[in-house]
Amino acid sequence: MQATKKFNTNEILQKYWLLIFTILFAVVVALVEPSFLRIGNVSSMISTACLTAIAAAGLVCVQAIGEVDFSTGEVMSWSASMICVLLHFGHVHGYVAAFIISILSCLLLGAFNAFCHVVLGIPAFLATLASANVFRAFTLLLTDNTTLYKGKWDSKVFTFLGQTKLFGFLPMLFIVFLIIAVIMVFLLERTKLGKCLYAVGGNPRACEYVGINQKKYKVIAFLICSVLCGVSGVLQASVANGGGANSGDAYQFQTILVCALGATFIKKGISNIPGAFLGSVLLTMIANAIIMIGLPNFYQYAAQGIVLVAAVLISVRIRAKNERS
Amino acid sequence: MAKKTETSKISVRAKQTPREFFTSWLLLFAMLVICVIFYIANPRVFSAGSVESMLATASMQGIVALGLMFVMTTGVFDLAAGMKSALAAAIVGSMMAEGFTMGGYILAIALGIAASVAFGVIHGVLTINLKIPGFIAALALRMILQAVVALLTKNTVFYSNDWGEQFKVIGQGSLFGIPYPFLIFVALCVICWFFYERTRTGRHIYATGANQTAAAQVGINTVKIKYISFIVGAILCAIGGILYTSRNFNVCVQQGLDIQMPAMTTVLLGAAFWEPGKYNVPGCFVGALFTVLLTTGTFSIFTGGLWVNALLQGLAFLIALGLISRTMDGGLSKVNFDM
Repeated sequence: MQATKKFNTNEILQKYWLLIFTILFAVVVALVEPSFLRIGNVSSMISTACLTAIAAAGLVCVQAIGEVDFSTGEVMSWSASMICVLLHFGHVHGYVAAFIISILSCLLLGAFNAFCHVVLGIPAFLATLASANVFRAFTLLLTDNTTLYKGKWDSKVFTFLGQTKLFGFLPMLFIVFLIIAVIMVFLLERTKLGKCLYAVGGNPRACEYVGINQKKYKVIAFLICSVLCGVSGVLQASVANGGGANSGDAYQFQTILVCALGATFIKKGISNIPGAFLGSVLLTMIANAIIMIGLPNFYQYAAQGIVLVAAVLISVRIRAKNERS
Repeated sequence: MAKKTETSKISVRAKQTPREFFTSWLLLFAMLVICVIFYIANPRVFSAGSVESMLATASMQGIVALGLMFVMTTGVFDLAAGMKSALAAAIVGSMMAEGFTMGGYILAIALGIAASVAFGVIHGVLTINLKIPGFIAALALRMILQAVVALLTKNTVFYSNDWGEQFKVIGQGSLFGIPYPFLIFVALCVICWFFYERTRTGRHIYATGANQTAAAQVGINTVKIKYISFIVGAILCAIGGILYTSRNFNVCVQQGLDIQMPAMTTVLLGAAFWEPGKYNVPGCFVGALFTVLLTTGTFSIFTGGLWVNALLQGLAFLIALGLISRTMDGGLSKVNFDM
């Protein structure tokens, strides 16, 4: 009886320690610097975290099939630039149409990634590194290497998703993220598609034996990833009042970082959406806290790096310990 | 030992199919073709000053790429290589002061390289002993180093007039019009080629990367070999970074971030050359020249060549990778992305 109970606490700790750490971190920072918990600050942190988390939710699908996508940032830049160009030069009237076209155009980028990986057979991490260059070229060509700001077009509609706060504190972005997260969690955990995605990544040989069409699921994963990065890019443009070829630069490694952190939460060693969200909240909090306390902002990189090492180290150790016992 | 390797190499070479032969020389052929195109479009690409600058840039990038090659051979995707080079440069930069003697410079450079090696060893401890996936450890180290370099350079483009003229010589001096960095690059290529292809340790590095289990079973101390590859990699990165600082006479965080992707491209383009599917030294040499030529050429032909350059770099990268995966059975050595 006691043995099982002890096992349970251990298990809870290893499943949820990232959450516990995040809460502890928030409490400590709030004690040192109470203005950290000001409503304005909290809601801006949630907005920032949600932007990363939406793109990371897409990356989770690619990681489910056991690959990595380095082109997330460039896809975000593309869709952010696309919507700005569409609205700025007035080829498209109406925000909704521009929104949809921008996101659908990202499907082409995802298809390009899928083509390189599935048809040409290049390992995805290399294929996406190369395609990131190609996408960057497209974006530079599209925007002529300028950043377009709102002004010419209806700014209220444009900033609605990115800057509105419900009841004065809850960012609209969080609602968008929740909707996407619910759909994605359902898709990944409750449908055949999701199970197959994880199966392709987890045990490719078994998939071959039971007749799962691996290529199909790989293509689907890249398409989902590109669409969600596209959504995130459009929202990023809405938050930043405009977009250009550099809109998504910061997100290329941020999304991977977040997924790596998220993989230590709940499902050990497997990227998952709640973990990715928690990871982006933690990273955003660290960045914010460093500035709040008044340290130069480059310390945030060191802090985030150390947290990543610690998180992965602890989860690796716990797993090794469990396997031994 | 050396003789044995040679005979086995010859037999491998003899088995090369025409397709593989084509692939293995394509990069050099493509380079000659774009040389001709650029020369026709704008002969000034090959003016003496431009060639000197291209050789120097290719050398600094190529030396970091050589370092990256050793780490990547053992199956670790090292995103921190660029920052390791910037760290060495930042340490040298922050140590140098007015009236430095020759011994002072040597000490500063030695400390810079030592710091880079220290982080190489930390990278090794994290991946080999603590079993953190190498890719994640590299990502974390990259961020930590970003902060360290920012701290050392006061988060600015750091330079000082106190650095002295002697420090400029290694990066900016030239012998009969050939810049010193290029001579250093050629020398390092020869040393690395000999180490990688003709010594026991070098072959063990390759064997460990190709199949770690098999390597361990035939009695190779894979842990030691991996540490050696991390250390050699860090030394080469440091040399590249210090040369970069000497040439541009400044050091900053962006330096480390900027050199990462070109170095990566160099290694992977190189893997399509000479011995396709395998990271190799001649490939790094040609790859470095190729990428720099492509960049310089496009910028001098197209005004606002930013997008043309990005597109060409991306396509060259894709074609090289596509050829490797089409012509070779095994493809490139695997990189571990387990989380």
